[in-house]
Amino acid sequence: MSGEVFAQLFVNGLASGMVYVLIASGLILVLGVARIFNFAHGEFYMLGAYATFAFYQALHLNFFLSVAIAVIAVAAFAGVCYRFAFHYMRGNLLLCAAASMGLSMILERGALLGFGTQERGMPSPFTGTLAVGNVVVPVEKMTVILLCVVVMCGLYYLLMSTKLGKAMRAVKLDTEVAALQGVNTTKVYALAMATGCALAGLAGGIIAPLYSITPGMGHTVLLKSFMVLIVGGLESMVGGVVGGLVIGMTLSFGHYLVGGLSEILLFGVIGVILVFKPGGLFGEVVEDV
Amino acid sequence: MSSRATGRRQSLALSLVGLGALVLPFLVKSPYQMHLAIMLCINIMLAMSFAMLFGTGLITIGAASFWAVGAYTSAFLVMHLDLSFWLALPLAGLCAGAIALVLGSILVRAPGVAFVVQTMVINMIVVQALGQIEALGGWGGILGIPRPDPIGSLRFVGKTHFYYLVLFLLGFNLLAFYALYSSRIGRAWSAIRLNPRLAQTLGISLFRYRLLAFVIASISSGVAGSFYAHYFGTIEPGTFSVFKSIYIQIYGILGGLNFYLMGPVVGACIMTLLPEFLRVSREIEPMLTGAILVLLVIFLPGGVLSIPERISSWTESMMKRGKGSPAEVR
Amino acid sequence: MALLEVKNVTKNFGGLAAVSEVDLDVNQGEILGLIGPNGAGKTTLFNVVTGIYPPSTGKVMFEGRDITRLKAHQIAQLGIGRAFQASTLFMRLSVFDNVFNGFHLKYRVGAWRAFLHTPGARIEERHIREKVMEILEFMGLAASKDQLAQNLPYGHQKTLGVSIALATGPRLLLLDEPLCGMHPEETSAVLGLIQKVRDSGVTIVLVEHNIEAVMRLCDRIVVLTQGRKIAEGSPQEISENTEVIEAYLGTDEEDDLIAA
Repeated sequence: MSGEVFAQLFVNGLASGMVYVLIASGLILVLGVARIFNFAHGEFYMLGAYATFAFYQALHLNFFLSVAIAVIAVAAFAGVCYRFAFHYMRGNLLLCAAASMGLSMILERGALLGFGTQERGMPSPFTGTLAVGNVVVPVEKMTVILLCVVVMCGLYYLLMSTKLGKAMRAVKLDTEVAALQGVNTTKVYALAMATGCALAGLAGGIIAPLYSITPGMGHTVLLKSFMVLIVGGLESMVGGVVGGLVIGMTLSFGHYLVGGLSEILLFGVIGVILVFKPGGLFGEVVEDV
Repeated sequence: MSSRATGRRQSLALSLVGLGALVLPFLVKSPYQMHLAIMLCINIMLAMSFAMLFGTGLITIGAASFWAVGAYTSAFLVMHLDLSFWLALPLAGLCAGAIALVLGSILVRAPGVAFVVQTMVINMIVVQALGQIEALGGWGGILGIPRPDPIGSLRFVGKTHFYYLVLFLLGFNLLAFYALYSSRIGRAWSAIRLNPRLAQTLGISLFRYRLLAFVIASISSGVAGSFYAHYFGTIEPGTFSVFKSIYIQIYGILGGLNFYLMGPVVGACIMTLLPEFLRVSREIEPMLTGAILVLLVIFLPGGVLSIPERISSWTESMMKRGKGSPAEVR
Repeated sequence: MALLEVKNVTKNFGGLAAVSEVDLDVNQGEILGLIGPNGAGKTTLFNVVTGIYPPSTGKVMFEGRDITRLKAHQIAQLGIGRAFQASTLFMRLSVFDNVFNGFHLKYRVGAWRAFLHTPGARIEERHIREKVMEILEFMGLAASKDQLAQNLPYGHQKTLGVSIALATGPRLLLLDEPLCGMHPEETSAVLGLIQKVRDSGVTIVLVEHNIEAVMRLCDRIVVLTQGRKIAEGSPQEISENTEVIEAYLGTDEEDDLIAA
């Protein structure tokens, strides 16, 4: 494999990996703080893509602005979903999972009816390539990577330094104790869901120019996102980052090396990881009893 | 209401349902509706397997995996080894059970979220493997799976014949599960679910009983898979995806997770038949189904079968209020 | 040979030693009291003996057999029963069903025949139902047999916990704070019950904070502080032991100790 090919694969893997990181971070936030196995997470990703497309294409707004508004819209919508559905079954993982499945059905069909079945595409606002050393890299991918990194830094700042972030971490550790300390757990749950889904929506917006937008794009993404959690550990942000990158890289290099069997390769990698660390790389296995 | 009276009421209700199930083909004319009835029976069996596992405190998002194992094994045995369907059916079940035994010995040791996640991964692996392996049909699946061999003069031509076959399988399943639940095994399972630590101090091995549930549930799913393969004639990896497993979970939740036998029946009925009633508008049907699902989970977290209990505790509290202060009532 | 021998058991959690080099013998037929200030490691010791987790070092022998590495359910099978500190019950089952579950080990008909509901299995079920009633009457819970465990008053819940443990037919019974949260009137009744259980042939070890009760009830007492055994002897000896009094200095039980 030549250096250039390697660099291409690496950049591709990094780009798609970072997107998975974004989506998975949202999933971890929703799962860890709001305690919801969000099977509708893929749909929020899809909504982010469509919203960005709508604002950019129809209203001719600047790309970054489109993404920003799309994210806010998705966040607000997710918050509403929390308040009017998940709030009533908070704490019960199974019920929340079932409800999220129902939500997924509603959103996917809604998108289908609203936007039609044909694939949509957005022209990329970033064209051209960048030369780094003797490696040629598409600007698009670099932008994706950059945006994701920026967002993850922002997320880190949110969780570590802001009041809301600290409240979220407190709730994640022990909801009862957090409530006793005066944290408004309902608000935190709702905001966690909003933020988590916003991350998914953001990912959708970021990749909107790169891939085709369909109502079903959420489904494929969902399973991969859960795979990130499985690899990295269900409730670990660091795990999410590592997991996403592992998956992105494995698929990128895998496609080149073994073509269609890249998925099997991925499962092989996951299997090996799980043998040594059943809870994921950064996860914990909670023993029953 | 005394427990004997409720018991009699339940038996009556069950007998009516059973009778209805038996005469269904005479009331229903359209082959599509017969197909629905058959799929309903299959879904009930799958939901029952989920419920059995849940009854020991194990939540699985991989129920469809063993359904797939049964289907593919049976198709393979009949089409490549020339076995009769009637032999392939139990063998497929046992094969699913054997795989469950091996996998279970590893998985069951770490119940809780780890188990959920691991069953999900297995499901994904199974689907992926079935899609990639050309010998098993790849993503296109296996086509032209033969119908069951005729028994004597009884040939499996119309949907009605398949219906009675699946009804028989379902009935057998229900009886077997009922026998298990009402025996000391069932008691041990419920002890494990209610309080695993206490169950241990009573000499109940968590591992053994959970593994037993896992294996039995998988055999049941495997048998359902074999039937499905030879009924539908075609099997493809997409049918057995994680989403199907999640649906199976929902069958159990909607009916009521505390009702190991009737819960799956009710839940599967709702999710299988509801979309049909909502076919009024083909287009928005999934949205309506999704909305009803969410509403049911909000308002009936204990499942549909928890309605009688909620009504009686509601009327009790109404009556208490009417009679004055609680002190007087006592 | 003592019924139960705890030899030099240490249990570490992270860097903290919850139990440190404890040596303890329990003799057949006695009621042994295990006391000590909060955090002394009493419940941890119970957990090690009943197999909830293994000790970091040391051995546990029961009836001459090494049970150190056995799992909780295996230890239950060998004849050690336990009633827990908190109301550890099958809350959503009736009192009757709770105790019925305790008889899990007592079935002689195999699982296969149980599944098929053979006449033999059904006779055995009936047999066990009678034994459940025996225990309920012995423990004074017969009147509440159909009540759900979660609806019982606290005192009855604790008694139920002991009843369930008794159902397993233990030769050694570990009671974790049987008198916790009880009114003084109930305490005498429970003490009488514990005596009754011992007289029926069960050796008892109990962890308790009610020093007065422990002094009245127990044949021997062992005192733990911060994971270590600091004293062992008859109630009289313990009440005069200065180290013990010091250990309790400043705690609520101090006055009880001195008064005893």
